[in-house]
Amino acid sequence: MSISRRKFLQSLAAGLLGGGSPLAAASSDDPSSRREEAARLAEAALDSARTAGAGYADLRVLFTESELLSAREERIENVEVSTSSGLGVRVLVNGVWGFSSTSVLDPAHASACARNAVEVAKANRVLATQLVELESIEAKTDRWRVPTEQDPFAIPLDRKAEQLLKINAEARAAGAPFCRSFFLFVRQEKFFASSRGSFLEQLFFRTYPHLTVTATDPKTGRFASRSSLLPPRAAGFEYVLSHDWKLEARQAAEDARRKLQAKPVTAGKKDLVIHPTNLWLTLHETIGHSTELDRAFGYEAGFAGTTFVKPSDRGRLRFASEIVTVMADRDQPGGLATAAYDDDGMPARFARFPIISRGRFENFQMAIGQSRWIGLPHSNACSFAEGHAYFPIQRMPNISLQPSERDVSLEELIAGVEDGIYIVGDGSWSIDQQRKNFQFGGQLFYEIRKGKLGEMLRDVAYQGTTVPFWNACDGLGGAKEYWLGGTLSCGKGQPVQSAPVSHGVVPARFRGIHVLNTGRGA
Amino acid sequence: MILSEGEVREIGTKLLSYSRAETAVAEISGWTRLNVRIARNTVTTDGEDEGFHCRVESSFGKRRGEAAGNKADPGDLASLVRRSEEIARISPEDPEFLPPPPPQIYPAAQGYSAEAARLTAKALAEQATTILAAAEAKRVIGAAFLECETSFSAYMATTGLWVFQQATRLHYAVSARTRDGEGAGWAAVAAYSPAEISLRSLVEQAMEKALRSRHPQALDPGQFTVLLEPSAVCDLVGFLLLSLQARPADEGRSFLSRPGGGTLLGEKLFADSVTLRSDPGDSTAPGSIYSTDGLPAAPRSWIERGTLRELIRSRFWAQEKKAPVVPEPTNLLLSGGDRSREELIQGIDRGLLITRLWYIRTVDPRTLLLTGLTRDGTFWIEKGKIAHPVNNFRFNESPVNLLKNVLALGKPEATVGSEIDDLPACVPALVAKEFTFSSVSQAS
Repeated sequence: MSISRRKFLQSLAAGLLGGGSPLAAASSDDPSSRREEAARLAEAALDSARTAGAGYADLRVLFTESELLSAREERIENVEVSTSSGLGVRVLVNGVWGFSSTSVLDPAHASACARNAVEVAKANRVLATQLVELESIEAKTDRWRVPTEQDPFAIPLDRKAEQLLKINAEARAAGAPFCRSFFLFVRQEKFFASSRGSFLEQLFFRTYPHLTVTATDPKTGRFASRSSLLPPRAAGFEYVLSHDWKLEARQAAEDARRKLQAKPVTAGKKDLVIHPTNLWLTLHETIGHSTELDRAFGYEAGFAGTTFVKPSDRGRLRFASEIVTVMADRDQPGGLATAAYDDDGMPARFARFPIISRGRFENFQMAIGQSRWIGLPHSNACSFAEGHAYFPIQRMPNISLQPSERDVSLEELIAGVEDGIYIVGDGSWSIDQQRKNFQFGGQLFYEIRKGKLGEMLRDVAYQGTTVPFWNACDGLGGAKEYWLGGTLSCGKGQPVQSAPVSHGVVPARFRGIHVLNTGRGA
Repeated sequence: MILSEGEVREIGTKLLSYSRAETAVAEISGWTRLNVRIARNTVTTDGEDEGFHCRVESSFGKRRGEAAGNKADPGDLASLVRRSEEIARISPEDPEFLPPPPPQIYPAAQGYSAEAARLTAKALAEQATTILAAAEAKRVIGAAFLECETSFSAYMATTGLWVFQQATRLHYAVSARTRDGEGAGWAAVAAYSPAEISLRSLVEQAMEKALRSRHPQALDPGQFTVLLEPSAVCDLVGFLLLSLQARPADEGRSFLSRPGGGTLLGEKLFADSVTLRSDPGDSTAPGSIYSTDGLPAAPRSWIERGTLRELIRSRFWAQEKKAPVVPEPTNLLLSGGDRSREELIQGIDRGLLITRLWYIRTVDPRTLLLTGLTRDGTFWIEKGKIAHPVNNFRFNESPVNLLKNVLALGKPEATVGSEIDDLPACVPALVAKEFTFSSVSQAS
């Protein structure tokens, strides 16, 4: 699930915002010295784990920097930089996992941490009725980084702050009395080492520029907001610069004002044309989470939930209409789950697989130790841990809806609707614990009448059940309409972990979907 | 890592001594955490974690900057101070900046249990064997999460402001599913002291609900009288409490804004029986003794016998509006009566018993309309008795309406929500009329 805004902000404060030296960030990272430091820590931890009785051990050493700049109307509300580092050791002792982490980076603490992880595993042996068995993963030594053109931490803070204020000024000039914007930048260096001999070094960048404007009508007490439609991406500052913020701010202000006057929707069954800026989240919740193998086996039963998809559904379940193919990957440019290796040290090439092929469910997502549950030889590189203090669990790679083979435009999809709604931007989202019943809002809604866009609507939410919904899809945009959405804060696990993930999507048309009016007389 | 008050004061004093700014604030915290997770009647993940966090805010005039890190070494702390000063120097002036408050008087911290702080991974595992034994005996599939955190936190400023507290927090959640996948039950609690937690009782509740919720009967959505168990109350009322914000209400962009201007503060918005408080000194669910900007978290009635009495108001907004500063609440206390759950059920002619709510999100901030789902035990009540399990539902309802429609309240108890899981809470089960369910969820 995508976690709530409150938790998102908490997670930023707690970890993601480990942030970076604004002025000297570029000089704070000396890759070779960190590599040597990580290697020393790995050696100490893995030796100690082995000596203490671990049959398998791995560790992640993370160095994270982040910057959050936020502006409200004409003022810079906050500029916070943060740095954090630490290591987490995971061990398998006689078929039972143990985990321990520390933020003190020296070989003595790394060793103590490994011994501690072994003690945790031994303590929990009394609770193990099923033992973990791991597949073999080829040992690798490798380096990889997210390609960037401009290191966001090398851009002076005052320049970034100035840019935020300009965005807000545009929105206010365009008639939005309230305007909040932020830039979030994360740089994370991750070292992975395992007792099987791997030593992997990866460097990630995440950039998230965001804007929300609110318009009010004091006479009626009505108010309406519109957020920017730009998702977070694995990219540098060039991503911020590539966007026309002047246009975005003006359009957002105009849309917010129009929303105040929009026509209330009439509830009922409607045909929907859903823009990628909305559909990415629907795809994430309904397809992304329902096809996680740990859910299918009850590993999230107490919290994130199980799934309606059964192991026996592989190759059988008619999940969606025949035009729908959904692929997993870890190599899409800009993808937040793009990497060379997952957090089990599994090469990313294993993460390229169909989840749904021509409407049929094909494959679950798996982390280490899970493939044998369904008779497969190895995982498909779907493991991730939020930070050094988190046990790696199964998480999504990038998961994307494939475009139509034909060059279908958004207009063509709309033209095929007699009476319907066109939905843009993500809004409220909620889905049950087996990923069946969902309800999604949005940011902008327009009537479709006889194939043409009509008036703006308000108070719209759509409800449905996952499989019937995806089987009601009868039109997809072509490759030119493809767009990569995503989130920094998909939540799962206990303690809850936040994961970044992207979803490529094209516009899609769905027939006969239940639409609600959520207005309640407001 | 856990440090004593003396050690933290020494670090803090040293840290502030590095400051060359006009004012500086430091927040320091540290923790150790233990957790173990069970699913499919076996241990799945576990762990121990120790950490440290320090945030420094420096200001020159109205320019300010913040830097945070997770290292306690003097060199690292000095570099945080320098960095925050560098940021402050190049930041634009913040017209809303206010210098840190002077020293304050705080209530005594209540939320620490030495017994909880002594828990080890081995002791936690031994406790958890109860879950596996019961799951085996009842022939259900058990899942659980047991977590124990010991922490300290301190807030200090160059004005002489200083506050320190220690805390413990235990969060235990037990789930059970029947082997045919038809029934599910859940029970959870979060409390600072083991004395507030009976794992055996959680296990019994979760497993009994799982067994009783098999073969649910179909029920169409609509408006029903509901009995919400404390966890569900915590989630909905917690959303409301954290939304009681003065500034958006004054600015005309809140469910508390009055058309034409002004707010609904002082209005009778809820049922007479509703009194919503926060009080760091509460004996069952004590909260942090300090809140926003290091200000004391004083006892406060947010809603008193149905009337909205307080809104959260920052120091800047209080100055603008010439109104009192009201820091964020640090716990959630909903008053109740002394009726047991069974007595509440007896008072319902036709209605629904809701165990747990899930995936709650705001649909419309103008009415604080929320959506979410029921899970892990939903039952039909008829003529004062639980008649049979029913399917799960999606609800579309506002906590404002919920508290307007309260019919009865049970005895408050320590609890934890699915969403509001980090605010210490002591709330009762609650009966309300006309709760809106918009569709059926076939999830079991």
